[in-house]
Amino acid sequence: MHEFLQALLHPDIPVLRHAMLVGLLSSVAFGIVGTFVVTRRVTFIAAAIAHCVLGGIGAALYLRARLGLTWLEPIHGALPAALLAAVIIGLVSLRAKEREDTVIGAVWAVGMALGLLLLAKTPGYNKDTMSYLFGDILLITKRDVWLVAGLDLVVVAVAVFFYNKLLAVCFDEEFARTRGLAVERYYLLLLCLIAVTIVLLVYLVGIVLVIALLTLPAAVAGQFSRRMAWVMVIAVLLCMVFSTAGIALSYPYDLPSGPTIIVTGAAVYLAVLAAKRLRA
Amino acid sequence: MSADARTAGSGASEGAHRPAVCLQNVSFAYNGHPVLRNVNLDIPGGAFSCVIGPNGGGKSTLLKLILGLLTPAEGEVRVCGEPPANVRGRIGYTPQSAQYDPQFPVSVMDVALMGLAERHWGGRYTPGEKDAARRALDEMGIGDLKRRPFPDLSGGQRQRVLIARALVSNPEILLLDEPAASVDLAAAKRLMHTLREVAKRMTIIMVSHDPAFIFDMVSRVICVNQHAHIHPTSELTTERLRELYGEDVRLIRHDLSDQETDHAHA
Repeated sequence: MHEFLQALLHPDIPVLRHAMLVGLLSSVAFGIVGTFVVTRRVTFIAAAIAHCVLGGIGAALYLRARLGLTWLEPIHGALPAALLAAVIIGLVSLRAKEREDTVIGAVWAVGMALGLLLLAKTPGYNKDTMSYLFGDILLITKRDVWLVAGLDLVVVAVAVFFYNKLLAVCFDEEFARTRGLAVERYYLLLLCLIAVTIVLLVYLVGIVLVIALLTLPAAVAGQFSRRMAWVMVIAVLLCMVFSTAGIALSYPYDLPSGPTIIVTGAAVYLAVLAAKRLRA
Repeated sequence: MSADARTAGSGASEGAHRPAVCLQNVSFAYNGHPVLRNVNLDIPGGAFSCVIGPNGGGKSTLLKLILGLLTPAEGEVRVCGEPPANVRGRIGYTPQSAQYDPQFPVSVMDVALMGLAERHWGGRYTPGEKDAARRALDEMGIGDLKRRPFPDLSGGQRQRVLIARALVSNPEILLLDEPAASVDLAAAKRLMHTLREVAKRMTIIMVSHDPAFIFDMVSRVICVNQHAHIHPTSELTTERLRELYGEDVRLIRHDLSDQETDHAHA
């Protein structure tokens, strides 16, 4: 632990501080949006959106190499790809009531496949794809911290402002419709919030593991409160603890940070469930 | 089909109320399976009406057409003289209480306030709106439960919360889908008693598959089995009711296969 704190404050290793900041900042969005994901039961859809992000990352890296756009970062492709996937999947799940899961599964895989194809054809690209799939704190730059802070602010502001409507639509879609609420618009808004949130932590935990950080804090928080707003607050705090603890644990043992964060969260979830079972 | 000769038609015999709900030649089908055929109905304003009929006979479809959740394939639905979509704010709707996610983290108060969710573009509920929600919960006799988690309540209590949610916007018409479905008989009777008080100030249309204990409470009975017929309760003798109820029972058995296919496509 002492070693980790020293490294954290070391002026020559800014990447650790950036990773911590990204984790703490995005926890706010993850706790709030994750609670919607868990209560509205759209984990599968969120996972599909996350995997489509690879398509965007691939496109950004490909364009950067081919067209010499040096300013183009992977996250600039990740964000539009996530939003596009959210809208496509959202429309599919609203319109095609039958075989919804089949179409979503296909979008999921096609998004990844496009990303892998683009990466394969990107000249000079030889970093391993693993970094984007499972996270790599070495990918995080100071600019990313600012970008994450900005996106975080947008997600939280939108989610808080529309909280009552999103809650009404998630709880009882049919009733919301009888009140004249544009249910479909709010559903798409929720999926877009999920998309942006996922992009926040693509570097830290990767597109495959990000889904667990969206659901585990909210699932644990759901054991402690029966009111949506409190579940969100607790989920935010838990997400901060998971990401910080994960980074702190991964450093001294030289473990990849993404998987360490996820396993930490899962361990807490299981411990809470076990404690509850024992007390009951 | 139920060739029901005792149709009382559109006779609005009580008071000078204009029809609250009016259906003209309405037909509706799910994926080619007709659910309602050529329905003509005038439900008078201010009345407490009950829609009865076999499962799959079209009761819920009728309710959804009135709510504007479904659009008729043919014919016209008018609520307060207008298309349902124009008068959504004036209709209160109470769905069945059994359909909710038992883990959804909402309090009773949260649910009641959802009846006002369309009022704002965003932001929080005003103190006035919270007062309205409290009053609606008090009227339903569950004001003391307002901080409790909604999924923790009994079926009857949940039903009362959902009615409060419909009442909080002070609608002119209250539509209830099987309010007694997941409630024991004693609680159902108390619920009907409360509803009769509510009926003094608004039109109530209630769907029920179990009409046995309702007839002395309501003024109109609408029988739905693809076709719909309205009967003033006063014109129905006990014998006729038994006849009607018996006929329904027979029709349920007769339509069993239809009912299953309807279900698969719903």
